[in-house]
Amino acid sequence: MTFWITFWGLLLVVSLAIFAVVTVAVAIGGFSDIKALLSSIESQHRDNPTDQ
Amino acid sequence: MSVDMLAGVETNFGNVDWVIVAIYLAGTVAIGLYVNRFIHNMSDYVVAGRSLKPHLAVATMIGGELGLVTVMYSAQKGFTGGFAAFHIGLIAGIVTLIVGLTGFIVVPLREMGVMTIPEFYEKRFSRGVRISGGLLLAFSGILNMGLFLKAGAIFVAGLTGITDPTYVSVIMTVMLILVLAYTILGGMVSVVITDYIQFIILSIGIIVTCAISVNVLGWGNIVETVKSIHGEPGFNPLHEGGGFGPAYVVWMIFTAGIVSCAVWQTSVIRACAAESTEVVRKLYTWSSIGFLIRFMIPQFLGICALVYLYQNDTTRSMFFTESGALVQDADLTLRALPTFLSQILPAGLIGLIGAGLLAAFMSTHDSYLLCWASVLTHDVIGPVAGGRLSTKAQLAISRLFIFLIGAFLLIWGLWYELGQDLWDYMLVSGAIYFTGAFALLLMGLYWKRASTVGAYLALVSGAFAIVGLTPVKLALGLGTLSGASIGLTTTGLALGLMVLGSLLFPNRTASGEIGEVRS
Repeated sequence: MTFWITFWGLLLVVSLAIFAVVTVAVAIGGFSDIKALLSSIESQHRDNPTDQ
Repeated sequence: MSVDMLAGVETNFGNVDWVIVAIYLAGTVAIGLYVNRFIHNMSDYVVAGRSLKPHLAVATMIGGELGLVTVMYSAQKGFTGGFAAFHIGLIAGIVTLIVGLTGFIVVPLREMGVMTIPEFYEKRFSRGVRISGGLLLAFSGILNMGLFLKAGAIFVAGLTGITDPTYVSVIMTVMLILVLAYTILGGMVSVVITDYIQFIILSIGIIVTCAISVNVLGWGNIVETVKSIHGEPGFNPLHEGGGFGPAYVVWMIFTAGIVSCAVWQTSVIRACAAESTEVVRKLYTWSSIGFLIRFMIPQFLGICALVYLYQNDTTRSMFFTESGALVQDADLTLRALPTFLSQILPAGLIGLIGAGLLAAFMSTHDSYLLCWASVLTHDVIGPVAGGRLSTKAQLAISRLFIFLIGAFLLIWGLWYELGQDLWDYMLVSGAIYFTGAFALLLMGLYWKRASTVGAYLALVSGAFAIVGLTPVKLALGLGTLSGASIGLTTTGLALGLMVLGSLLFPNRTASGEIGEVRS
């Protein structure tokens, strides 16, 4: 049982730490991706105005 | 068990928290309505014009899957299974990472340019397989989300301290109407943007909540209390004495691992929406940590709830027997997390986290509503109509289906008695589709001899999974069989029939040779 207690404890700490880093990276990168997404859809429709 | 049972439990949820929730939800709906102006065709509506870049794809993948319902059923698993429940998240993370590194199933699907899995069925097998698979997928998916509203209602009741079931029902109905409004109008673009906002708020919220929980309860105290309530099965997932064991772990490798990231349509639709196959690989590789966390963190909060409610005089008699054992009541154990959060989080923070989780609730609903409505429109009505539906008609039909599914959710959520852990209910209802779908995807993508007859047999055999639902199991006198063993048997049956059907009734190419026929 000692093995499992140590293993789950370490996994929890490491996962939380990595998740915190991923959250920051995705939050920053995701904002510019949203702008790119909206302008990409807009330009698709400018290029193909009949695609309704 | 009614919500009145928890009437004596105080909550920290106050007026300031209601204001935070109202502002947050109104802002989310406003965004959904705003992006409606970007929707011009079915591709924009269903896969956001296939323009998702890596960061946003990861945010929407995790945001969509880390919903309130996920938090509720994972917390319930942590509450009833202890630390041993962590194996579910660990398996989900490792398998998603492997899928990301190898591109297993998802990369070939994206290369084919399909929007849904049934669309793949038509390209690989036949139009009939697509229509049958689409119907089965939508049926299973809608049944699978049938208790989302109930879980949401339990959360609201536990967090806010509202004990009148009528008020809880009214709140849930209003929330459902809000989700329907912005999903019907905004489609996938509104889904990805709201998923992004929810991802940030919820990620920060759960990390802070974990820190507060450990600070209040103490790590040593948490471990010792779980030890005294669950014993070794509370830590060792392979131990037969608890709720898990080897068969359950194998079932998790298949369901929480392969199925949830590479077969379940709501995950696959994000792979289909990705800009390129390279983005698909990055999406799955980076999302692996999200797949781990989405199970593990709520499970940990469920474990903290177990410890807190066990050591609190008011709540101990509600959740535990006199001998200190857990009460065997799935509806009640589902209430453990919101009750715990309502006690431990301070005013203001509880509003923010409550709003994040309610937004997550709406986010999951919008993803799922959009997904199943799209499948019905795109893979059932469209092919039946012979591909003659205009974009305008497809959008109108999708929106009608979203409304009808919403109405079903209200009725089913009120009527169905749970009788088993929510996670296990969701696995069984989902298995009606995914046991057959896995056989079709695996064989269809990687075995040239896989045939249309084999595909039909595999799809039909998946329906046997419904036996795993507690009311059905009891009605058939199969109460001793576990959901895991029924699910694994059904999966084996689907794979076996797929192979047998393909060998006995192979497809023939135009030249009369046996082999793969792609349209």
